Amino acid sequence: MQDARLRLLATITLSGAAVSGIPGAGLTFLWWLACTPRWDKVPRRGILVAFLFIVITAVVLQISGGPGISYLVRFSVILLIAAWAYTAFRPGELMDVGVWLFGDGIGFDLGLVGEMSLQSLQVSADDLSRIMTAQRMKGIGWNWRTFAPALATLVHLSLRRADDQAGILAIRGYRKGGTHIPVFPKGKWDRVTTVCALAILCISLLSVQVVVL
Amino acid sequence: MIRISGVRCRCLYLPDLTLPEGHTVVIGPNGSGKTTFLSLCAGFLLPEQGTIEIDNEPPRNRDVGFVGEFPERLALFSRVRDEIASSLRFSRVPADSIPAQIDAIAQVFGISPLLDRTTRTLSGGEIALVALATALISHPPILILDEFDSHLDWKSAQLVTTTLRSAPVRYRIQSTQNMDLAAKGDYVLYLDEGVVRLQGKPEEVFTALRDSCYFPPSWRFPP
Amino acid sequence: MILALHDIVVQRDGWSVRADARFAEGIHLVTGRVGSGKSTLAHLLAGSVVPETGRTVSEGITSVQIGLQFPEHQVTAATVAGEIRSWGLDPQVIMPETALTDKSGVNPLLLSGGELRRLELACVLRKDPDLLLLDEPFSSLDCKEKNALCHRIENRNRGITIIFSHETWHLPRIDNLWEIVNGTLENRGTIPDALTRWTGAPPLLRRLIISRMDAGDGEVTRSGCRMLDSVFSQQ
Repeated sequence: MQDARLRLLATITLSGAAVSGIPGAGLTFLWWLACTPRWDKVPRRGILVAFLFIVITAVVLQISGGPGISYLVRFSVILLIAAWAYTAFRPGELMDVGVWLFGDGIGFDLGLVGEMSLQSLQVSADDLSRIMTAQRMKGIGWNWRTFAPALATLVHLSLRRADDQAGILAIRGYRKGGTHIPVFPKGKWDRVTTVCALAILCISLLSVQVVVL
Repeated sequence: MIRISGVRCRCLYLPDLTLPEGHTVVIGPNGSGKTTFLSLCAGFLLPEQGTIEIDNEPPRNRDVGFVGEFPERLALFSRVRDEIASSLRFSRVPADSIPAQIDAIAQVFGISPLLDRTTRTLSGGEIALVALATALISHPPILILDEFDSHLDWKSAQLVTTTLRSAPVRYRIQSTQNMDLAAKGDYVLYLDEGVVRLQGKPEEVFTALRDSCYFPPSWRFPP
Repeated sequence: MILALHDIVVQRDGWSVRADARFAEGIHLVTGRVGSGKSTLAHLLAGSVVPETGRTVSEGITSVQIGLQFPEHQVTAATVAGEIRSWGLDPQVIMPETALTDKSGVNPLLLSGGELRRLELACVLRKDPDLLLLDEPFSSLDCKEKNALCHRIENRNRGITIIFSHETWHLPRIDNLWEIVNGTLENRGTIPDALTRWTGAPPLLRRLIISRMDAGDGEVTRSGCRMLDSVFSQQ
């Protein structure tokens, strides 16, 4: 899906559908199979960690008499949708959507915060992998004793970057808002897949209502 | 005129200093306070004591272009294009005029092929050139460069020097470890252990440094 | 000891670097323009970048160390003393050598650019590996530090040392010169002949090489450029 606005809409709709119940989650899973490149470029390790958290919560829920299995199914599907939204994301889109939604005042500021946060997140991920490489080159294993100073270094780097960025924002003349023309590339199947996502939400909500009645 | 009086900050002590318009080059050993000095002039740091005035105003009230010692640390945006455009967008320059300005400055510094890359994947020299384009796109009257040339090969450094000479910058303050580059400045400051040991025209400062490794090699071996 | 690259291609979005080379024992200098792939090549030799095609073959190399272009990427500890220990070295030896004795408890990331480079280089050099890779080691060092580094590199009389640099003056005596031109690593051969084939030579070096002018006895060497030694010693 090329258009960031439609992707955002589909993500919200499908998350709603999946959380509403098993039927919605099932349909959302089918949508994921049909309309996304599935596992392409998905950060496997991150997904695995998130999935592990879902499994633990589901087990705890099931043991304490709650709907653990339903939780597991629904949130696993949400995880798939989130992974897709993350991998389909391109830099600059948050600013595009922010300004399109809320204009070049508050919308620009929201977009700016989003873009800067994502940049910091990616730079921190780079920092972490560099620290791990540095430890490997020094012949230090990755264990609990070496973890603490590495983490301290990472935190220090992030704090200093935040400090530097505040200074840079001031120097580049940032006060409030800014000018930006959002650009949204159009994908061939964008509208069809979005309509499908909306239909899935409607069906899920209807099925929930039927069960309630 | 840049007037600095009674300034103390970190290891730096500047009781009284006046810098003329033009290109000032700051040289000196590692840890002598060059980065602190430049950060103060840019308004990036505020002095613990004393005042700095650029044409009777503090640096924070002025339009300043700043390229730090580690430009890869200072990128706000992921896309190179967004990074270069940032100061124009912040100062609400009409959005439809921005792409042409980005393309023009990218052409000047030979970084057009980098515009659609992400800042994280650039090499040290490439990100330095992007940082310079970002600093210059809004035509600031004050430009601060901290050991910026240390990331560049001599051809790129030469291109930048030539370009900057014709840029309408009133004050360019630059630190460097390349003494041939320093020798081309209008005014030279030699810092050591947080104080200004020597200042003046390149001829005056480097004559005093004749017996040290700070003497420009191109002066030692004239054509 | 040999390090050989066979038909190596590393590709990144929009550019690539190719290498087919043999590095023998001695000091090598690899030069090239901004973004030509010097750092990528350094990381490839260090094993932290995997090429798209080709292979590296090493003989007799049991230890590898790299001094990075941005020394802060090598920091893994929260104090100067801790950082030295993280290299498996004794702070009591390295701190006086780097004039950082009074900063043993300081976070390495709070040192000045030059100080941090001095610290990391001292550690990398002290490890004395079979293969020593130095990515832009001279950048942000003052001229005294550059000269001291040149001496230390020359005094390493074993193993393979490869310097990736765009330094224009303070260069050590080297054995072999390489140049990355149009995305390909090219061997310019041994010194002094390599110097005349050096297409990207800095202007002053080029002039001195061509004119073979040494303004007095060893003046070039004394002022920090040891690389041209062999040019003038032939006269």
